[in-house]
Parts: sequence; C-alpha cells; structure tokens
Amino acid sequence: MNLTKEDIQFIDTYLKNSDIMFTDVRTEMVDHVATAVLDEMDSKNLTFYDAFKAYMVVHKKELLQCNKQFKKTTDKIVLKSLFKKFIAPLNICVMVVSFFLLIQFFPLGDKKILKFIPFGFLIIAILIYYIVVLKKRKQRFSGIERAGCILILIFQVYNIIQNPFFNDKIIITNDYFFSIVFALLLGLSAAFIAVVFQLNKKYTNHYTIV
Amino acid sequence: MGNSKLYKGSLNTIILKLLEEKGKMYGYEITQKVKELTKGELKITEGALYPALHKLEAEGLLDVEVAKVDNRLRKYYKLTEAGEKETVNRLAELEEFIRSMQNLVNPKWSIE
Repeated sequence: MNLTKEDIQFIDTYLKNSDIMFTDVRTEMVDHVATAVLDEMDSKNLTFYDAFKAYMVVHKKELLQCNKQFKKTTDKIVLKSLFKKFIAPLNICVMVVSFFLLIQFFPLGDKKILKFIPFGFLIIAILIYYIVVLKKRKQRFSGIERAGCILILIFQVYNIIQNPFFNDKIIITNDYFFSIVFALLLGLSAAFIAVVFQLNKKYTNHYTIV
Repeated sequence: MGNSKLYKGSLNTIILKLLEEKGKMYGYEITQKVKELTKGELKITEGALYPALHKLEAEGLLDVEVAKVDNRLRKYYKLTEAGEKETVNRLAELEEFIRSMQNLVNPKWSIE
C-alpha cells in the first residue's frame, strides 16, 4: 500500500501549520510520519485519516521537540562551516595581503572614504544573501536562514563598534586597527558568501524533486 | 519503558553500530530496527532520534543522501570515514563500560 500525493501533501501542510517551517526539517518528518502511518494502516487496517490521527495524538509533542533541537544543531553546522572557510589558506592569504597593502600604500590620512569599505563588505554579503539565495526560493531552509541571522549579528556588532556614518574616533585615527578590521571583515564576508553558496548548492541537490 | 534512561547515554553508539552494519538507514527504519532487536524493550522516540542524528551529522560522523521514495523524499544516513573510526572507538568504550558494570553489580558473572 502507498500513500497518494494528496496524503503526503496533507501531512506536509499539517506539519507546516504546526510551526515546522523549514523544508529540510519537514521533509524528514513527512517521511517519518508517512512511513509510520502506512505501518498503522497495514497492521490495524485503518484509513489514512484514522491512522494519521492515531499517530499524531501520541507523537506530535515529540515531533515538535525535534524541531526545536534542530535549530541548535543547524547553528553549530553553519558556524563550523563559516570558521572552516574563514581559515581556508586562500582566505587567510587574501586577508594578510590586503592588510599589508593597506598599511603600505593606503594610509588613512584624510581619505575618510576608506572607512566605509569594511562596512561595504558586509552590505555586499547581505545583498548577495538576499538576491542570490532568498529571492530565488519559495522554500525556507534552516541552514540558509540561520546563516542570515549570524550575518546580521556580525553586522550589528560592527555597527556598535564602528559605524562609519556616526563614529569618527575609533578606527579612523589608527591605521593598524583599521587595516586589521578591514582584513577581517573582508575575510569574514568572503567566508560567509562561500558558506551561503555551499548551503544553497547542498539544499538544491538534496531537496529538488526531479 | 522504565529502563529507557539506561539506554539514553548509548543512543549515539547504537545508531553508529546500526549504520555500520546496514550501510545506510533512514530515521524510521532505525527506530523499527532497534525495537525489533530489543524485542520492544527499547523504543526510540522521534524527539531523541533526530536530534542525535543531526548532532552526529554536525560532528562529521554521518553523511546524508536524499532519495525519492513513492511520493516523498527520504533522508538516508551513512557513516563517513571519521564515523567508521569513531564507531570502533565508541563500541570499545561501551564494551568496557558493560564489563565494568558487570563487575560492579555481579562480580562472579562474566560475558567471556
């Protein structure tokens, strides 16, 4: 016995309405529930709706608990990937070279425009995040959304430390400090973009039904 | 089950051992296999199984493969190379633990 497309859609909609929003989490839950419901239908000779109701009465709480736990694990995966990309040899080379080039050839002096550049890296990363990933998707994926949260957090921390529109004093007076921040944000933005593309590729490969 | 708490600390090792034997498995299959092997003594709940699987995946011990089955997608888990090595270590640890427990609760009895 198999479940129809409508039955699967019914389970998917039910889980979505139960606040399991991310497609990657829900896909696994849908398969779990569908297989369990099929077992119930076979063993107890029930209709789909009766088997589904019987299963959900007992297991809904567990399924929702699983959804909460998943967010923590996803954060861990995203941060680990971000760190890996950040310390990748090429990224470190780019950061080191940009630091020395800046120190050597572009001392801040009166060129106040330079202080906007690190801010620009983060803006570019956020734009790429929204344009390339979110605008193309109708579905929500946990890793991509959690990565977005991490980027916004970094952006806010940078704004507190040094917002080029409001704060003239902290970075602009110190070439070395500015160059370090410049190099780190360049590396972080590049790592973030690489992670988002990597996650996007992974989800496209895993969750596209051909 | 009253004694499920005793199994709780070994859940990751149980999952790794099953995957080592079967190659690749999906979530529901794991719950059913455990139920079958323990003759219904241990029932792994969704709330325990999936966080454990996701944690093992995050640690790089499991790899994921998604396949279309009937009208839905199914996520299969399999051991990575690191996972295979870790399974050997964790099984050795578990055996050592069982031996120690046996010595503690029943010094005269032995599994050997």
